[in-house]
Amino acid sequence: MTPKALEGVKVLEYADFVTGPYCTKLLADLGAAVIKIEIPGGGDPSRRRGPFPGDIPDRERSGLFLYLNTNKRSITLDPAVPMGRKIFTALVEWADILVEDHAPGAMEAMGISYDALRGFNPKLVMTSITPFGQTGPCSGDKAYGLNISHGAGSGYLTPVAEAEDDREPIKAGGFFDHCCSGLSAATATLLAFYRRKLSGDGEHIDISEQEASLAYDRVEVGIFANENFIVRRIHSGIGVALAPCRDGHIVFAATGNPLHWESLMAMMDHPVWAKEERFTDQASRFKYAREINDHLSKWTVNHTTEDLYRRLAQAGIPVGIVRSQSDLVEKDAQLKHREFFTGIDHPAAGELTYASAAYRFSETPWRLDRPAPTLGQHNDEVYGGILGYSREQQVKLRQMGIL
Amino acid sequence: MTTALRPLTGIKVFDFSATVLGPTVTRYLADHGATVVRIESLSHLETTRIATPYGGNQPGINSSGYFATHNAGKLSITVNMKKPKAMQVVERLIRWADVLIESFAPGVMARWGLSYEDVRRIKPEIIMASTSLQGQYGPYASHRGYGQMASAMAGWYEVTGWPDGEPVGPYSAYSDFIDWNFLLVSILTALDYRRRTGEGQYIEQSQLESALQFLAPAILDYEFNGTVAGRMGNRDPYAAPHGAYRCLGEDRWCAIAVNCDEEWWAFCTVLGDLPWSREERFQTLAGRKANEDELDRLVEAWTCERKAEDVTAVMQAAGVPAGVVQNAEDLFGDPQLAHRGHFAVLDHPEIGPYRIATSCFHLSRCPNNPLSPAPLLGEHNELVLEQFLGMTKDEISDLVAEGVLE
Repeated sequence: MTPKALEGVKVLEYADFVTGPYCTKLLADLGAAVIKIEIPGGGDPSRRRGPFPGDIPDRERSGLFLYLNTNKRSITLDPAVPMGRKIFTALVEWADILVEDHAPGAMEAMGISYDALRGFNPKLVMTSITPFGQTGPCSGDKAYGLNISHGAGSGYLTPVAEAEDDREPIKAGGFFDHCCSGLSAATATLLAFYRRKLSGDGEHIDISEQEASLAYDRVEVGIFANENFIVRRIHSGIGVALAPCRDGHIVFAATGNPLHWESLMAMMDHPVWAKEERFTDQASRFKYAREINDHLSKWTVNHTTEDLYRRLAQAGIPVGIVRSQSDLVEKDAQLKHREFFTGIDHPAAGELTYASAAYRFSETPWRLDRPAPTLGQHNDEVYGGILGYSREQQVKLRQMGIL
Repeated sequence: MTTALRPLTGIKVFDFSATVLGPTVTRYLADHGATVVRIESLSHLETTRIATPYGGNQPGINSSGYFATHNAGKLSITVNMKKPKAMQVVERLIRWADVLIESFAPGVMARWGLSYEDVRRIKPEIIMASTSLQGQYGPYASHRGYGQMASAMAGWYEVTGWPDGEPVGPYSAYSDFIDWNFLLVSILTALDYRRRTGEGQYIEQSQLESALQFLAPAILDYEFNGTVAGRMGNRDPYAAPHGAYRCLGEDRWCAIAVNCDEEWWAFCTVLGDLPWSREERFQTLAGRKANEDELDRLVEAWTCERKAEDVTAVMQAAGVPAGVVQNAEDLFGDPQLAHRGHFAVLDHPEIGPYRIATSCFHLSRCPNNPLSPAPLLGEHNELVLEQFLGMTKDEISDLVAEGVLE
């Protein structure tokens, strides 16, 4: 079997829900050995959040958990009690990297702050994720994804309206903010890990989810920095049109480039309205974008998304279909050709289709080696194998509620 | 300015990318210590060189504030790829580099004789990364598009917006804004693999495949139940109230997220135990979800008489997650971001001092501030050709005479 890029790298995850587990999922998918610590009893709260088959809650069949925890191992452990803490520090000695997401001060209160853990493993790279960072005037504030999205400024720009609108700003769909933060945490962790090999020093990384979400390019930040102008939720008229079709929507941009415009007009059999002078030159077309879109919509609505996509793409016009999750899995010929989706069997949830990686390596290709673990699935392997506890000792720890 | 060693000190990057995605990757590589050389050309100006906003409102190829943001800390050389001798410079840059990143339409690099196979013949251990809209191969590989198209194809339009509205999508060229970090992760991983094995490799990114990663959990809902995720505005199936509520002032809002009964009780206390908040139907999550439209109206009746900052303060004091919906001006005045030093000021020879966001994470032993402003077009031709590539003055004069360095 081909090697994986991060083979041999050891990661301990003491985090839950989306952000921390997404960070370690990226590392696990790249080949790191990830041990996920879950609280005895309920485990990761994402196990209690759907989607579930038949919408029936089942901690081993949460789609969110299954996606975020592929390629990892799960153990149960409560590091908040003294014996649990001792086991935790033994795992820290084993690990190269620790990813945690506890509120500022919480790790210290448990006696497992970065300074304390360095005593067990001076080369440890520890990545701490919190909504606003470890220190500062708002570091104690509580925040969920909604608050982070809006606190980082992306909500204020969403959704993009065609005209001035009085409705509230909204967040992007899904767990955008948490995923951004988990992805940035993975970047930072890899940088620190790379440096550690050169310098021998460990490192403590302080991730603020607000700051991480803000880093995803925000045109309005640059505009304000240069022009003191506050961008609002209004379409900036860059010429990308959303157009209704018989079976959905497409987005396309044909008003700018004169060649694209001519191709489109030919496709539409040179409609009479387009002969008006204000529609014939490029700058003027930007100005009258809304009227043009109204005209175009009357044409697009008679066609299917696939048909228009094919014809516009052939003409070299930038175009995309507004796709749903089902379209992606069922209809996208490009993703199918590239074998983007892959299946793996899970003991409780069965055979499921998963998205593969965001990148393709020539020498160390991505692959799904193991489905998400059941709660505590790897207790034996980790407690017995890595930590060397006997069966009797493990039974005792289980009776004490530590694992 | 500090000279402390950074994680990527000594790593050499040949940046053959353009616009936003690639340059954001190399900006991070530069911030964390790599030496990044960008190839540009006077004959085919990089889009963001001539993109607004302009620093100091002075249009010019060296004063785009957008370019200045994404290219701080890099070096710029100009090479006209239409000239045959351009390849002399490119080949030497490949020999010099640890990492090559490019964002041309699929096929362009191969036409220049610069496919990965060609490049690794020049430098076997190179890490080469290509990014394109839908990947280097497959039936749609040649299709053109911006971030808006990749975002729509990846599913973002379908899930962002109001339930009763059109699929308007998130702002601007959205996929470009999230995809860069996936490419960065893959390059850092390849560097680590090379350090351990001595082997380089080729990384291929389809921007569509990267852009749909964050929404991938919803694919399992379709797998399980045939359910297709739709638009929910700010709402969440597991929480209520959960929204952005109008506050005093023009376009001022507070985002409040109540995720459990404890937070609901604290929320009611902050509101002063208003009679409606004690109604039976609002005492459970199921009840609040069933009556969410009315709940949102009642919450907003309270928030709209108060300033967003004041609502945030009283909610947070009671342990209720709340925060101002921040616009760009708020971000620059945000005390927490200021405490973390999120924005820095660089001094640019044409723009003057300009504000810039720094790397979004902090390593305890390494600074992360950009070490220099964005380069002027071709500012480092001599430095790079002479010192990095070892060309003689005569060789460089020949290239100048033949218009290669334009």
